[in-house]
Amino acid sequence: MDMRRSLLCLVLFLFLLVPLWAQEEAVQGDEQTQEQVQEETQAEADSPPAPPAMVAKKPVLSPLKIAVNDSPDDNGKALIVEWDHSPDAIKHRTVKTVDVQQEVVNSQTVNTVSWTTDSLTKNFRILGYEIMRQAPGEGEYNKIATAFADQTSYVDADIDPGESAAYSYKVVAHITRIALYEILRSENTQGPFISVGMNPMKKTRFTDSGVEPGHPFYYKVIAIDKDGERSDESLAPAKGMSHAQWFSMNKLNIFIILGLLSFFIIYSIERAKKDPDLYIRPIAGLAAVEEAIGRSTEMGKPTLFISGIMDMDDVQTIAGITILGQVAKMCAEYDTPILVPTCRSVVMTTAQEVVREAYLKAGRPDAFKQDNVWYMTDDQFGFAAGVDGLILRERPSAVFLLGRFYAESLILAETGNYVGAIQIAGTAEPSQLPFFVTACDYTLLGEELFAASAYLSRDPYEVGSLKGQDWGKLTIMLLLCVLLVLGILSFWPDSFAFSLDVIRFLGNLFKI
Amino acid sequence: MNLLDRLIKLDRRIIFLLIFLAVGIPLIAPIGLPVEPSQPIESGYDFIEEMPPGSFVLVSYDYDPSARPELYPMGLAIIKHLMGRGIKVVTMALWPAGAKLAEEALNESVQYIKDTQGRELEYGRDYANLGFMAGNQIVIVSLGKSVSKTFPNDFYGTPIENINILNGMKNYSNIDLIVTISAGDPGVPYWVMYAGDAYDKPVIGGCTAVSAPQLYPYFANKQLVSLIGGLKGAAEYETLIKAPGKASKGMDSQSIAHLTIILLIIVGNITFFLDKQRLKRLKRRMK
Amino acid sequence: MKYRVPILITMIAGFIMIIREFIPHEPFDRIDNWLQDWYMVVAAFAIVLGIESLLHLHSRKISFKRKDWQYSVVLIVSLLLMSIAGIFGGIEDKTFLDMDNPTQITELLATEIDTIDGKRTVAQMLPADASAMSEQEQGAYIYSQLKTITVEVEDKIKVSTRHPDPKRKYTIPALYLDRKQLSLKQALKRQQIILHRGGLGYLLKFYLFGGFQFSYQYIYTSLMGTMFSLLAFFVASAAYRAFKARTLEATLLLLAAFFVMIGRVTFGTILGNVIGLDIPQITDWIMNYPVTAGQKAIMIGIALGLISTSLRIILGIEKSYLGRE
Repeated sequence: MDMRRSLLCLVLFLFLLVPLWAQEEAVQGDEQTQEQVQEETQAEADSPPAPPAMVAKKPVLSPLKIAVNDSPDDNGKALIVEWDHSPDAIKHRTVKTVDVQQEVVNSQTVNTVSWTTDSLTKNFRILGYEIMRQAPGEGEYNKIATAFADQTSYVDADIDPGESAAYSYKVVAHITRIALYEILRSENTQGPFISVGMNPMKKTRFTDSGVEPGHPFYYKVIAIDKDGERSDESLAPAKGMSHAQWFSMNKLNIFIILGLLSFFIIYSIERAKKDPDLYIRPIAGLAAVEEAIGRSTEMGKPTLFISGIMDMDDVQTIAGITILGQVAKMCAEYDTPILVPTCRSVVMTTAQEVVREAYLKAGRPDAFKQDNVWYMTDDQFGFAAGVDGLILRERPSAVFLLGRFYAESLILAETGNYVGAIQIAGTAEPSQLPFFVTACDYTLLGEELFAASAYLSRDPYEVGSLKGQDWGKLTIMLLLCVLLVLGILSFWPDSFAFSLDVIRFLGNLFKI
Repeated sequence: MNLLDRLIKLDRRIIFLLIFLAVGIPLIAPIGLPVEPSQPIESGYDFIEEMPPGSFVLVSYDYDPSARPELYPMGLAIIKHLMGRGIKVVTMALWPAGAKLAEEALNESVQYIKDTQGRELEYGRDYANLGFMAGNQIVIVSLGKSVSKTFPNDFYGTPIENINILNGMKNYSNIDLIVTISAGDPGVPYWVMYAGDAYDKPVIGGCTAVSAPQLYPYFANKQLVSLIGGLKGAAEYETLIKAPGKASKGMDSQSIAHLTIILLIIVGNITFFLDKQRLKRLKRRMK
Repeated sequence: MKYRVPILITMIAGFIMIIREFIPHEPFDRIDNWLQDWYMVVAAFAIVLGIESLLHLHSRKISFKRKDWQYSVVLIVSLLLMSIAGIFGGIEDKTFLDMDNPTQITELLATEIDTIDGKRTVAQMLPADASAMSEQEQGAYIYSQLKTITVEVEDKIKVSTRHPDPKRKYTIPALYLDRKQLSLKQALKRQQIILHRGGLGYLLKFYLFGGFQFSYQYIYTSLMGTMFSLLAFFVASAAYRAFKARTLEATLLLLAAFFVMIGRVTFGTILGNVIGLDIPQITDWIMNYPVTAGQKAIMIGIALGLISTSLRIILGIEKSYLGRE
């Protein structure tokens, strides 16, 4: 039988290789295309495009203060180029042609301000407008609104109808001559400089991810206007060198916290070796496991175990599989069939091993049926439909839903409730906990699922790790209490000025 | 069996029938209940309203057809809003089925813009679809380094360097906003962790109504610019952009269905208390 | 030894992944990608195992004629049909054109193809005496020319590159459409156009090339939506059964459910206006404060549980996933 299954696997595997071979032909076709593309690119480069119309105008001004810094906390393959805007980047011009019309709109007197900017768009690009108003009795113009670049009018409804004619308006256009910044890089000061990126006008920071650590690189930033005019390229470049960091300093806080938690857990595990008798509070759901399986035995019905719908890389699935071992052992002892449909193939193979071992430990290897642990489908709702059908046909008396679940959680739980099964559910998915609490008899909330393995086995090491986890929780709770008190005190900054400083310090400490 | 006993032992198929009618009738005969936008949705709308035309937005479709009724109208409303403001939209997907849903939404939005604003948007210049990439959070982190290395081709197989819109989008430094529409894992938390917090990028999250409570802490902590939860969130967004669609229509059904459930709960509690009273009377008589 | 090697592998891989998080230096920056790729390969092999398990289980059910064996036949046939259609035909949307309707073919091709053989337009694809030919004859003619006609197609949107001469003024990147020569057959394939002649051949081609998309769009998507929609009914039945004011906690649960459900729909505003309460605001308060606080507390507990469980697995204390206590 194993030989047949191995052969079937091999045939299936070869079957899947066929489309890979078929795709290679398509890939070769693409390679031909790329050669043609390169030929055409070369042909296009040889035949120069028509030059734009020559207009006498001032040269484009270069960006200022170009600085090149190493990108922090990386593998040394990136440099950050920053610069200040070219003086041509942002200018303000008062629009000359402004017209103000008084109108009545919906029984309200409004001033409609309209403008035209033909002269401005010749060499510049408009970014937006500011509408300034001088109200009657005021000496200055104040900004009342902003407008988008494609707007040509603004309706001012916030006016005194009696004095609507006394308002005067100015429209200030925010214009730019710069369309793009081009970033050039070279490995020496003389060049040749190659283009490594283009930034739109508003962005004055560029990350060059194509550098090697330990080598100096030289950068120039060229401002380009909408007609293709470029700023002076002969200016001296800025130098930068990247380094790979051996430690991400911005993750130091996480490192310390993780170290602290790990210390608590490992220390507690070591202490548990000396003092194995540690107290765990009763968890109703876990205490009811034996009762549930006993009920299945009495009614002569199977037990159903679902370890979630995710793969073995999910810790919740591992937690579920861990509990499966304990449950399977009890089922073996009571001679109750256990059904374990899985949503992932890797989970199926693991579950089969776990259940087989459980039956072996219980001294009932003959009772193990491999077909009782099977793979159903990867699809979330396909799995839910399959399990629902299984529940309605087999009518299990005990249903265990322990692992990661999503939307199908209520479907499974309600169907189990319908057939009258005793249901023990547990998940660390907060959005699904309310459904399990509503529809199941017992629910393991979040960390109780992870504690289940220690609870059921009573292994001193595992119970010790629970204690370490609790120390971590205690530390967090104390910190929260301190922050709560400081937060309340911060409402009186004059008397408790230190509270804000401490909150800020702690906020930065825990910032990722 | 009297009425009280019938209500206590109510066959759940009657509940199913009531829900069926509550959802089905408003779909056939819409009521047109008004939808009032709430603050979590308005903040996202205002953020996009303040973005200048020509900005880049990455929209990630992280759901499959099972969540389509809730999430598709939400994504569509957002893309319509973005395109209507002249903002460049690039979609991608972390779930395999998401890429096709993104394509549908883009095509529908382009048609909507053509019908309402008369503008012809062009693929490659105004919008693009990068398609699906496996890898979950690894894809999100990789986008921070290079979009072209993460997605060498778009959804249609065109090399990325041949798509004009993506020449301006190298990595997160060129992206002005990230929108993620997600039904589970990978989804909003991953985008918040690996893109929003790590690269300091604004993120708008769209999710199913069931996941919204879990994601509210992110919005409360300002790690999300906006959280659009469920069909109601989608309907609110459609109201804000003045383009009522399937979500607004669905709200009638949702409203009546909620009302039906509440009435059922009330009836259930009344029967519970009446049954308790009856048991007390029985005990007194037995004494 | 049977368990020591997997535990050692787990330990090494676990520590490397933790270290990678804090050390950006090579080679740690690439470990993520390597391990992800390796995992994808393992998962791909595991799919084969899963399919084999499924086929094995259901084929035994059929051969021993166990209860409901007919559904196993449906499962195996569906699995094979979808796999064949998807693997051989691809998953893209296809357009099926009847060759006996050459006008449709030339119209569709004209949207994508500029010239044929560099000289003729698509409309001139047919010979001069085409008007005397029947539609079937025209279709047959096009089919016979599939490999011989070369067409020029618009392929990619290309950006012009910087001129190599540094003195030349830079032009703002211009778009132009790259062009290439293909045979008509290749052009049709690129456009995902499948020609057919109707009848059984059409059915076979439709299954092979369009079957996957059809099944996905009209069967799979509908089934997914159906299963998801069950939630609406189950929420109602669960609410009717469970939301009873038995205890103080149950009463609080009931009140929270009431306010959140009513506040989430328009009736909340209407009812609130009637009774003088801002119900949507109460809903928002419940979501923003008690719910958020509870969620955060659960998430902190979960995070600690995850760290503890992960450490136990990495250190080899937790061995039950290997089938061992």
